[in-house]
Amino acid sequence: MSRQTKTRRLQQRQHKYRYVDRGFILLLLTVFQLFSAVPVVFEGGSFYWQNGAQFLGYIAFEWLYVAVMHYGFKKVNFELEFIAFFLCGIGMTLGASVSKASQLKQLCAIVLGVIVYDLLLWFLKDVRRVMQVRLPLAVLSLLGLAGSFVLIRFSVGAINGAYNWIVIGNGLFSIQPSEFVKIAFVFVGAATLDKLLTAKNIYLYIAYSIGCIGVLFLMKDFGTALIFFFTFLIIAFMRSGDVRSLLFVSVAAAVGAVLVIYFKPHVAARFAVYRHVWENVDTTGYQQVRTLIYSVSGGLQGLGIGNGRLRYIAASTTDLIFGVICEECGILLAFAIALTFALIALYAVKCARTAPSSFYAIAACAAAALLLFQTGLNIFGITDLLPLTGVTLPFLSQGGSSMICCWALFAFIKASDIRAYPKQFKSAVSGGALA
Amino acid sequence: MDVVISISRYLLPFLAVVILAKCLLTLLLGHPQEKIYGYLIDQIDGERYPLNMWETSIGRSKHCDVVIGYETISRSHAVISRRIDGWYIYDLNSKSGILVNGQSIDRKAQIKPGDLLTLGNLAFRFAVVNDPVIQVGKKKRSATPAAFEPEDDVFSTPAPRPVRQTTPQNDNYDEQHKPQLHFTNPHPSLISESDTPKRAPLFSGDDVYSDSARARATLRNARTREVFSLTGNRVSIGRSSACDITVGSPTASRRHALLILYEDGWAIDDCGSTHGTFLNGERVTAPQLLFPGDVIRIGNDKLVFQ
Repeated sequence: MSRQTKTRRLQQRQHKYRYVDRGFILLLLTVFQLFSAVPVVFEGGSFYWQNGAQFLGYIAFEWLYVAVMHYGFKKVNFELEFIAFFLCGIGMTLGASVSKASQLKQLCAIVLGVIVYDLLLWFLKDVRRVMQVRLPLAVLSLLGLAGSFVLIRFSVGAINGAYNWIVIGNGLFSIQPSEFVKIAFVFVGAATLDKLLTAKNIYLYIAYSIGCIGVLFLMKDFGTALIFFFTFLIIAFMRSGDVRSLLFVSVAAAVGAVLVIYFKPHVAARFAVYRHVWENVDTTGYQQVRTLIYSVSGGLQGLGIGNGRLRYIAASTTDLIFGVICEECGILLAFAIALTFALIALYAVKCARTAPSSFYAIAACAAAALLLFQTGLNIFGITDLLPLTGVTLPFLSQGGSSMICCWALFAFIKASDIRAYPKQFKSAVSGGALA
Repeated sequence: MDVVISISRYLLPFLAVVILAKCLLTLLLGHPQEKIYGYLIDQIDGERYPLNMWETSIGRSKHCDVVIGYETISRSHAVISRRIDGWYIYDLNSKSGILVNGQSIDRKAQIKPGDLLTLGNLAFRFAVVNDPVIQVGKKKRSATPAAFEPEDDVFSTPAPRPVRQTTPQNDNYDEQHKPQLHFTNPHPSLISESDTPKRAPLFSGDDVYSDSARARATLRNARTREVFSLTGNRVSIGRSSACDITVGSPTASRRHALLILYEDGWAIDDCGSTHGTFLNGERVTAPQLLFPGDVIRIGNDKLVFQ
């Protein structure tokens, strides 16, 4: 056994935690991404060198990121980053296989997402600094959401029936403000224990939640509103531990939803196709029916990237991306992806027990639950097990706003792990008293 | 091209499962375990409340991490937080406030190991694991009689009871069964050296306490801070107003316990109460002599013998 290996094992034993072999996982990631890129770069016997360069750039970025973080910032555990890189890689490959031009935009979104992730992770290091920012952030995000609604309502208009897209530069870029408010929603919902137990803090958060969900309803972005409401329930439970109150809130929300549908029938019309897609095969149930048919045709290993049929359906790289994965990469990989989000939620719960503050614990559980719920809404929506709400699949669907939001949410999960800040919490990890 | 796609169909799912499985298993299985960072030590009976989180809430509510069921403690009274630059205590707008080493705090205060925290008239010594203060307690404990074998974790074993071999039979005390009292400090593990004079003002050395001390023996209710002078030969304790000392705890029996004065001092006996009488955490099944600093628990009330 080499001296280096001995030292590493000793360090691991001292720190009482393990981490994956960075080089080995990066190598596997590289092989995976190279093999998945080949059908895109050499599609139809042509050589798309720009896409090839972008794939190589993405792989180089992964290696560079890990090298800089490890040797520059002494970070050792990159498991969460590897998972995100892996998911982003699949999303980018499938997106590029459908539309070659979209790859660069997606690559930029990933790089931006990683930058936001690391900045947020750095910012979250000091919980007192975080607590000072909560109130301004709450006001800013609520005003921003309301302002963007007004802007969209009177300038852009509804896109796909919802007022949630700000279009810039003649359609070159579009921003979804509600995605950024998700970050603020988790940020504002979490708090340190001393703030958490004060009544003022609770009332302000309830008011903030009502404000956010209310504006989302006005924007007719019901999918995101549902995600916000679910996240609110998780945060409320984490804050109070009171199941009865949450049941009361849930019942009240259900009654409210019934009243909305009763008095505003056009809202119900959006969900009319739910459980009736086979009766509307070529009209309102077109996408779900094709998704169901093509998903199963991939089998366990899939048809191979570029060989599917679902890619020709509208929104194949956004809302229906999970169906494309099932068809082209196989149900085995698709199932592994879905399971990943569930296990990340479990990881967040584990982290919450040893988190350096209840802020981290609440934020991690809320972020993980948000991602899991969004994944569930997407997968069950396109397979007609839930109403189709048009939410994205985290990290995999095309879209810059969604990508940045997902990376930011991962930062909350990572921050709750005491290993995220090896310098600050070394004494805590190694078992000693405070330095 | 077709060959690559054919290989990819088998290779990609395999690689995906390996990458995800390795990362997720490391995340889930390689996580640090929970541990105890410090303790709050009740200065009345030495009960230790572990601080096993970075932020620990203290209060009367069952939702708190440390639940102290005293009326003088607010439902959510305080939070003790461990930050990267030290420990802090936060007052959650409690009615009775918080004192740190006798000084009232405004909203928060930094605390150090060994500090005395007073919450709702209850005093707690704050201690940190691996702190020198704790080591003092460890050394003290090893100086106790040979029958007591200290363990690695000083907090896992209750303080040894002093030898109390007396079993007085009602009022007819038999001289032959006069107890052989070997006094040792009943609370050797209490942390601070400075506590010792407060706890043992009435006794000295191996001797039993003096007549004068016996004459001014008192019981102090830690919850209500009431002080009862023990007069006569028998003092009854219970929920009933007919008792000499009335305790408000709903789990106390109407006639709960009896204090009897013997030649060697006061002893306590349980009067067949429903929930039992506890002396320094041990249930009283036969009359037990009392020593200064002993804590009698009756229902939710803790009575300190002085």
